[in-house]
Amino acid sequence: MVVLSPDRVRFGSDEWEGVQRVSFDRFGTRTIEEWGDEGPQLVFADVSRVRVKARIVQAFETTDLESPIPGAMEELRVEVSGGSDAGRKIVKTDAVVQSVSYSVGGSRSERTITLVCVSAAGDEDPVLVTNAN
Amino acid sequence: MGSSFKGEDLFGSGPHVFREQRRGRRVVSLAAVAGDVTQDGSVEFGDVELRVEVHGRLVSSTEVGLWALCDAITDEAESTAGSGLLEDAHGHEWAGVKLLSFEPSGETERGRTISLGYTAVFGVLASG
Repeated sequence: MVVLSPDRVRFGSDEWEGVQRVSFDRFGTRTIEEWGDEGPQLVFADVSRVRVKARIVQAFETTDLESPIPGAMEELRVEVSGGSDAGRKIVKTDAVVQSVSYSVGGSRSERTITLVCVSAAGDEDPVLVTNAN
Repeated sequence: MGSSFKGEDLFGSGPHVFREQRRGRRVVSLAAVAGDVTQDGSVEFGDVELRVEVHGRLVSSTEVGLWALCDAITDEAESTAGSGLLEDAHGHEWAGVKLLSFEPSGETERGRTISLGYTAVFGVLASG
């Protein structure tokens, strides 16, 4: 899942400006594979551990003296319009900051924030997409 | 054709494989039998008892369903349960075997399905 040029990105009470894109990657961290007595081919596979990571890329044209702290947990809220108010969506998840890194080149800088998304009980995808209205 | 024990499909909810353990004579060191390390050689005491392992994974769409699968197997591992015919998916048969043990090989895995890996050991006991 990727959101390009979101209208607004908040992490708890912090407003993150200049976000170019927010992407959500899903990784299976435990894959179960089983073979049977019938032949050489895999006959069962399942994924019983999933990690969802959010990656937020911000553009900076000025000095940045504030930075999210790895380990901080807040609600990440991304607002995106589909070209009209009717199509406005909100993507939200509880997330923990894992890393913050900068790429500096020319007149622009980029900050990439990587977050691990946390599900309340573990049985549902931590990322929720709803209509804003 | 699936596997069965006493005509029941205990393991068919998921993949499983059969493996026979060692067969042959039971050979024991004479030194061990006599408690005397100066004794050379070995002596045989009949045949090794038959053991057949089934390694597999029980698979269900619900927690309750998985427990029902486990219960059906562990009921056969109770000391009061009798022996019967074990048959693999290829029609190979082991007659007069009991289910000696059922052991989960890890935690319950909850993904698209609810599943549990296991090892079940069947065998013939010389004592009956």
